[in-house]
Amino acid sequence: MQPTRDDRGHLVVFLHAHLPYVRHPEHDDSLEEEWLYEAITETYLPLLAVVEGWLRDGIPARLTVSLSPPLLEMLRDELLVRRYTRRLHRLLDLAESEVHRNANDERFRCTAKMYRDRLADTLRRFETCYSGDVVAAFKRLQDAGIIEIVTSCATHAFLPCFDLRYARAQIRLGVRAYREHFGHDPAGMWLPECGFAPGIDRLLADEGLNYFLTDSHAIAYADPLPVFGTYSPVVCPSAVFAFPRDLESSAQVWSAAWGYPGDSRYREFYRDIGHDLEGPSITPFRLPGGGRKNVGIKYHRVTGRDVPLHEKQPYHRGWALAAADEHASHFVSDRAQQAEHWRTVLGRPPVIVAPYDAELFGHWWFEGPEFLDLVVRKSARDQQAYRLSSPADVIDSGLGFQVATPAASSWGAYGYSDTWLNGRNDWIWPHMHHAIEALARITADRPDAGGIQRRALNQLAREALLASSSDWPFIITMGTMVAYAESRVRSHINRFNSLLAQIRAHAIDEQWLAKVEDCDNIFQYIDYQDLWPQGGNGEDCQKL
Amino acid sequence: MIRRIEPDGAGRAPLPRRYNTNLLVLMARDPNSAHAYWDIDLARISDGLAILDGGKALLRLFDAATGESLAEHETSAEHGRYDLALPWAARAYVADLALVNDGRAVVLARSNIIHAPPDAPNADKRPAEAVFVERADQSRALAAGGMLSWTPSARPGELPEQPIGLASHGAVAAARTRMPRNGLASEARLAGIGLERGSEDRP
Repeated sequence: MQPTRDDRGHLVVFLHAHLPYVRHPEHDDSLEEEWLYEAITETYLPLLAVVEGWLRDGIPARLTVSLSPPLLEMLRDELLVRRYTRRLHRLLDLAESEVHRNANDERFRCTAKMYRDRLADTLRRFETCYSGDVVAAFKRLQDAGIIEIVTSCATHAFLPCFDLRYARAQIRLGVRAYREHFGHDPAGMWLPECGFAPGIDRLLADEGLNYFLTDSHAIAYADPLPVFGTYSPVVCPSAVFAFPRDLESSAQVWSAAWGYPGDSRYREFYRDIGHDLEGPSITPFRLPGGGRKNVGIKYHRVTGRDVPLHEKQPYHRGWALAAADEHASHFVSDRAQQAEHWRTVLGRPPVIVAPYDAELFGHWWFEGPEFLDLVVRKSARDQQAYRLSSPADVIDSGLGFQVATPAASSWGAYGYSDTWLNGRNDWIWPHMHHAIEALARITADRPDAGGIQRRALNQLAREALLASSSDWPFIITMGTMVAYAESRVRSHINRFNSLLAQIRAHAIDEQWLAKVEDCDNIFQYIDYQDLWPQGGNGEDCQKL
Repeated sequence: MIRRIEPDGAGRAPLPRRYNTNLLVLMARDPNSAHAYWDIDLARISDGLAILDGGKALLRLFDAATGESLAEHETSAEHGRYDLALPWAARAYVADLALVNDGRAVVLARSNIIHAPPDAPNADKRPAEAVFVERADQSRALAAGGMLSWTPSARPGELPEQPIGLASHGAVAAARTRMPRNGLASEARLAGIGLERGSEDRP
């Protein structure tokens, strides 16, 4: 427990862990399911190991993690856990064969062994230490007081593109999902994409949430203007705290142009043996049509920004770890200077909030977990200008906080809704809004449905929720996996419309419903009525 | 006939072309633009054309506070989508879709009101009376299910001559709410860090 009165600033390191709900029981080998499997191997388990190391070594660490409800649901889905374990075994076999293949190749021999050893350790920890339950492993660390876990919206909907009524449903179910998995209420919420508009804070307060994060301009443009700028959270009139992202610390990690992960010594993400390797050992990792995909074993380093993939140089683990050490020292030194400087300017401890997508660490930036480990250890050992805090620690620190309403904003490109609403993805919104409106109406019309009608109404809610993930318009905008994202929107909207027609006609095809329930099985505990506390219609219909 | 699409086929089946909702929906995209889409029943359009004895469809943008007409765009009455330029940030707007002919108009649909977000700190929103609260105030407000308000424990801070948030838009004389005054003016140039727009560098 930190002292309640302390001159040091606060550094809030916040990792947002989220993946869209992807589960295809109808396909034995779904490419998109691998997003989860890769993230477990490369991000979630390495992060758990790092935090367990802090706990073991008595490091006064504090890390805040949001685990989105779709991610929680996937991590505890029996089918996905079974498939992940199978994949991990296959990957370990591949890594073993790579050790033999590279036994006499000085360039890659050590790296091949590194992958084999890491994967063996990953498998051991997943099966033996965690019994396949990654969520429980995170929970244990929260119970130990070293991390704070918060929730996010039910299916990571970008709230500024919906009305307050649906925003309430997303928030409400996000809290419910957290309760299902952790057994108590969350302290805070990560708003998907930091998407905020005035009014959302009131909904958070209604669900008992204490805080959320925004991008920096939400606070810089707040009403009234913040006297401490972006170096302090503000309290909304609804009594919920809004913590602004610090752009300086964010850019050092995020920036594609000059962020740490672009260092030439780090592992190159885009060159993978899934594309390089010939022979039978890679065959099990081919796509059903024979195409190639990444498998996560990569032997090269970044080398240089403009160096083409085929000219990348071999990875050297020692050099990469040295880079992580240098960058961690740089980050800690910069934060200490920043905290000291702003403590002098403000006359009180500044609050520096550094939020990142968790999957950056380990998946995209292979050495990210080591960097984070070193940042925390160096923060504890090498400086006195700030302490590591969670948002709840800041709130309880005894500081006074200004009352202000943050401005509408997001952390997407240009700071607003452009990424989720543009010429490439705007076709989604009429279907989405129609589904939400139809769901609200039929919920109000059928308040006490039972039996198969109730099952159908619950599934109707699941389809609307799954369609409204922020990931689909994001992927379409970014131009990656567009066909898949478009297909997911179409599938959920089509199933929604079919279900709606069946419910209205009192002609539910139970066999078909069972198939859809099996495919889109998120939130087994959902109650369609619980999404809409006012029966689906109310004062919240205003567009944000 | 109810369409039942097998799970494997739902992602390939086309979506409905329209829903006949008789709605015009306006969505704020950023401080300077909004997106509109609409879906109007053919009978309603026919009725309007009959009243006006013909006409054309216009998507019209208004200042929601004053009702001032800001822009008109000729478009399809039936259904469509349109990106609208907004003349000012931090204002409220509303739109309608109307059939017009010879100075007469029939409104087919009126949109929701949107609030364009601000694109800069608003000097008019300086905290004349900055209110500061502590954890206990927040707990009380949440427990009461109400809003924070002036309570005995909520107190004004000393007023800053200029809030930190204005730094990149002018010189900051001081930001001294509950803080020592020394050295503040010289730090003004650094105070605007929070105002730089974040580039989207997500890998």
